[in-house]
Amino acid sequence: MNADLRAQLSARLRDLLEAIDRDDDAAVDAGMVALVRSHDESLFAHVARLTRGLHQAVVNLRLDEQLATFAGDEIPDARSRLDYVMKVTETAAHRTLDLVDQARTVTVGLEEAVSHLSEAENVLAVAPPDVANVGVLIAEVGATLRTHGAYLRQTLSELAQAQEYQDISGQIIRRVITLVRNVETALLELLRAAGGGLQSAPSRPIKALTGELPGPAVPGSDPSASQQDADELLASLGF
Amino acid sequence: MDTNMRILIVDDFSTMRRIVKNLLTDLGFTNMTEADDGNTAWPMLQSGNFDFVVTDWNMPGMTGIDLLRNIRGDARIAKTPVLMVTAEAQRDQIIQAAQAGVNGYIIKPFTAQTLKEKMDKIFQRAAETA
Repeated sequence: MNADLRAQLSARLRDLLEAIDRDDDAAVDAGMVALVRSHDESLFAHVARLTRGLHQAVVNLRLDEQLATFAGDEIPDARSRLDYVMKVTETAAHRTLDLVDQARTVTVGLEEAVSHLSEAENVLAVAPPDVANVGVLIAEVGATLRTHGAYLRQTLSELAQAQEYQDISGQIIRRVITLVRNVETALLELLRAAGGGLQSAPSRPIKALTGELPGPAVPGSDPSASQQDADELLASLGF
Repeated sequence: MDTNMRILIVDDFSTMRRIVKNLLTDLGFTNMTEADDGNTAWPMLQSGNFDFVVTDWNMPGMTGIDLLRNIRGDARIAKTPVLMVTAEAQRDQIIQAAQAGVNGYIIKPFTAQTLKEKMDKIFQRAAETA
């Protein structure tokens, strides 16, 4: 009971006692009514306080559930997706380096062509030049350059394709960022609801993840279709 | 297959657009244009006389499935073949794309061979029905 209420109650009781002492029935009745009313008022205030507390508890509980979902399902899922990103990027980096090594062998072919050309130059420097021999050397240069040119072209194409991981990993990381943002928002709400005195409000409300695309499949965790499954499904639909 | 045909490649990841463009170049195609989502692609399709569209599904702005529906809903370009190249691999989505009138569906990551097969099939079908 606060000080105001105590002072008010003691004043009312004093008035009531005085009224009884002087046999003032009207004042006794009025004093009794006032006392009962003040009791009712404090009861109502108490009930209101309890209701507010209960409401807060319900709000907190819902947040607890949300955090439990994050901790129990979504964060482990995000972790396995990020593991997959790591594997994909690592594989792609190795593949790129292998292809770069492969492309270097082309320089060996170029050196071979250059040495055939100098040989031809030497032959031409002698009078009279052995034209038939020059022809053979030039044909060799042509064959070498054609072979290595085709090899380089194929390697460069594979190199470009090895960068494909960026698309998949980018999409997965973007989803994890969304989850992190949602966890952050829920934690801020929880702190605020618990009366942590946190001043800054979360920038956005927690959004349900309905209607979102499932995104790239992670092997072993999603019931997703392979290219072959997709082909069969489309064939069954008349494609 | 006419290697001079105009192809529009739609994907929000520039790396992916480059990969697709590269693979199409290897297949002999020479006339390719890029767009980074459906909203960018749509006006290009309206004015560009494109013969073929390769599109991703999940993109900000207008998604690939909406782009496909818009193409099928516009009489002038409704017959343009559309190849969906996407990481979305759920059964329901493949059916959804089929219902929207997709001509081919490739799941990422994919190989040059798969792209070639799907394109061959689409143009073989087109030649049969022509």
